[in-house]
Amino acid sequence: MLTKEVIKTMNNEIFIPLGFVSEDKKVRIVSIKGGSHLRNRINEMGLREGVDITVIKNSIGPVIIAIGQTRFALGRGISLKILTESIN
Amino acid sequence: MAYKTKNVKEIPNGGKISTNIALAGNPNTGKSTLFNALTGLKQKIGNWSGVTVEKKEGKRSFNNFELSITDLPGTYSLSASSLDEQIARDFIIYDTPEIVVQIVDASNLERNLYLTMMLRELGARVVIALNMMDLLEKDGSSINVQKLSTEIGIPIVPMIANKKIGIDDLENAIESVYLEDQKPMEIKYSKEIEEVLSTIQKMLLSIPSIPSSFNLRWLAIQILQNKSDITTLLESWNVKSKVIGELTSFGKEDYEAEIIDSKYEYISKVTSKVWKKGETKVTRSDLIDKVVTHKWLGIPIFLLVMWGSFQFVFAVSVPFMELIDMLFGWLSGLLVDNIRIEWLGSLLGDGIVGGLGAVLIFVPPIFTMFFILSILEDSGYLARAAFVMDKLMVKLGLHGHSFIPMLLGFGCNVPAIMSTRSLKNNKDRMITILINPFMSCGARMPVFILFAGLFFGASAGTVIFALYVLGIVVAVLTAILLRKTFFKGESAPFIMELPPYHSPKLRSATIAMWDKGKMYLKKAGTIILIGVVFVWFLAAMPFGGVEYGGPDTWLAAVGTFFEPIFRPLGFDWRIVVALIVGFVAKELVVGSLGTIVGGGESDEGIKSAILADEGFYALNSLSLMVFTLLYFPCAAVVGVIKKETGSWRWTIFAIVYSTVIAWLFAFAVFQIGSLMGSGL
Amino acid sequence: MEKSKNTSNNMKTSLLAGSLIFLVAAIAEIILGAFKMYADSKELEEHWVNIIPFPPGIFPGLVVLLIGLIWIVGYFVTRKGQNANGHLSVGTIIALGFIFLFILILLIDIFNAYALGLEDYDGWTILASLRWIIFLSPIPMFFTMKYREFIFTRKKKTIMLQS
Repeated sequence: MLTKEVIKTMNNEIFIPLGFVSEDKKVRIVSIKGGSHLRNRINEMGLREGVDITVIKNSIGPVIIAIGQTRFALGRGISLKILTESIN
Repeated sequence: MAYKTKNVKEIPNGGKISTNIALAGNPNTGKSTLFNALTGLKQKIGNWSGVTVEKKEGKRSFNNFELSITDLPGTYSLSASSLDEQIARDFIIYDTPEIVVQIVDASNLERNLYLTMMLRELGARVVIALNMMDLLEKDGSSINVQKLSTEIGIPIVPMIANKKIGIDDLENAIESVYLEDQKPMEIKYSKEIEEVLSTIQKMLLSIPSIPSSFNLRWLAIQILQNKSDITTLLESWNVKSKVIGELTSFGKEDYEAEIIDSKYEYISKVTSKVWKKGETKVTRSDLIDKVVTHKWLGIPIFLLVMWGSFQFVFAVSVPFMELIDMLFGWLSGLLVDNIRIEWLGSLLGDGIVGGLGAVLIFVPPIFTMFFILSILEDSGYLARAAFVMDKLMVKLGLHGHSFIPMLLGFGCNVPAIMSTRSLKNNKDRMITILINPFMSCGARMPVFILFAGLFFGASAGTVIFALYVLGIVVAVLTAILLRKTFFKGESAPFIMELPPYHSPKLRSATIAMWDKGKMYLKKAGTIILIGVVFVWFLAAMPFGGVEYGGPDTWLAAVGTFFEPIFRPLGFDWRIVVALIVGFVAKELVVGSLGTIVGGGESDEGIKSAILADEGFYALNSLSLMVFTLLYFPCAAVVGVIKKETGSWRWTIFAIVYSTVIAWLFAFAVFQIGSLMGSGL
Repeated sequence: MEKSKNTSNNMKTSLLAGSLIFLVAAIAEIILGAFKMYADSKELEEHWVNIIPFPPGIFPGLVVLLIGLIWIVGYFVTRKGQNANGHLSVGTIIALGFIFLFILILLIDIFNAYALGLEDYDGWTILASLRWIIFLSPIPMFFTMKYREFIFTRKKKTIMLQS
């Protein structure tokens, strides 16, 4: 994990943008940045705070994530606006 | 809203009950599979009024029910943030289907139920078809269907649509919902929101201009979410300022995020009681995705699949094309030789049969193209193609979504431009529409085949390939140009669901091929037929003494008038005429050249006539091909651009821009070629 | 456990052997294809390239090359101890797709040449189309039979994630 990209919050919790999560890792969405319109549309597709996702593929180009049985491709830009925390 | 609160009906003894229902659901839930299973081949494809989004309707009879089923576009919600969602929502409000069957993907319950909440809030009576039950065990999840049904007050029918399991139960559920009543559902929002809602609702009630059929609570919820088209609606009732004023008195204008959250909270509460979530496992689809979206292998695999598809299209269509050519050539000759009245023989033989033959010959490649595209889409690969191309498209200021319409453009630009409706950002959509005509559609192929074959011999394939590439390059440059000038701004974020791979079904590919190909046949029977007769008429007038298609006809007069503009491209009046006629349909370019040059309409006849003619040679045939590739789109495409952009300004822009570009490129080809004094 | 380890070792060998054969064949086809293009442009009809049984051709060579590359990437993936079912499947499915396509083209060629008697088919022989199929088929067919459950199964084979 690149420490530079890690964003620390006030409570010293470590939130990682989705675009930097390595493949096959399971994470939880903690916040989605960006305008309210964008956030609402993403929420409606089932990508919401508190939802657990698994990163299937993350090299170049879009990121593939899994929510349950559903797979989404997310562009680089948006994948950096979704902050996650790792879960064990 | 026309939903009555009490809706108990009696079945008249022995009488038929005709009723209309709608099919709704998230994308990739098997909605079209269910639609096909319900209606079979009894389908009618049309357009939603006002937009060229495909509308599918079908019928099914059971017991004494006669159902008219409308397939709504696949959506995640009804918040009208894309054209698809707006269409689905408006159909439910204004066409008031008696029942909405929502197909729900059992493995993704929460997100699917979100749409259910919206449907119920809108007042629709819902039956849930819980699809893909067979995939539940796979990840160790389970649903207590009975309990879920009681919790949300909606009948739920477990089914496996692709194996046609559960259809009978669905019929029974539809029947019982039709006869009984479904209690309207209300999601309770936070105290604050409920307060605002009731205030607004009260106020709406006091406004006489609002039709009594509207569901006021729903309307109030939409107002709270600050939906722009609802504001327009309020404006038309002259109550906008009043309502907005009321809303601002609460100190907040947009409650959308909270409203979405409340719905999901309610859903989580319900599902926690009835749904055992499965583990996310790496599936076979994921393993395949790691290969086909691989950083080095992705693009080569995509190119290979495309190359294979083109090979398939050509291999399959060649023998059919030959047969059609033989048939029409024979029929045309038969009519010309045997009808005593000369002009009638010429009209029927040269004009109608010959012209139709020149068009129908492209039915085989177009049908096969739709077939293979449907196979690629069904298998799930087309979504991956968009994925692979995303990186490249981002450089053009677009993203992967815009790639699929470009690919479809190789078949026909009309459905390709229609398919841009799924793009959420309007600027992205405009750019994707405006560059689409540069993707060389199947109708331009005959011109390339004819001239490249005649003048470029063994390198004909390379020339045609280069033309396709030129089309793509012009499209790409245009996209960059438009993004930097008229459509500044970021492209919408790329989010796309990747459906799991499954083996494509021959049956559904055949249905898709027939449905889309039918449009082409219709076009041949109507607009192209009229165009053909018109060309014949101009080529035969004035009556008496003029040689058919000769230099003294009206056709020649039109061509000669425009000839000076095209002289620098190496075209004489005959080519000019063929190009103008191409506006009706690009297929007519070759057909009308055949009419003018002589040699009948059969492929062989045209070939020998052109070779013997001094007006055609390698260099001007090259500039002709370049011009044909790029110049103004055909009438059907112009129509669809107008409808989809909703603007005459952009439609005229598309026509003028493409023609100017075509002229410049053809000019460059011809002049540089002449300067090089080439031995072409 | 022991069994699955055997299977993965097995697949490792298959991927390596299959890919090496395909890569060598691809390079040969592409080089021969280039020679053939040269020979055709000089209109040398009886060139040696046209006589040897190995089929020349740049585009079909690229198909074989890519399948070989997919498998070799799969081989390196197995060496890292990861699952390469996807690589084996995708390479094999593409190969099967092209075998199907070549058979289809062969049938259509026969129809065009004998039933329609098209001019373009003067001097064409069934063998010219057939040898593509003969050279492309054995390894994908072998993989299909041996690893059918990986390539075509829709249930069962799922792997728990590391968490």
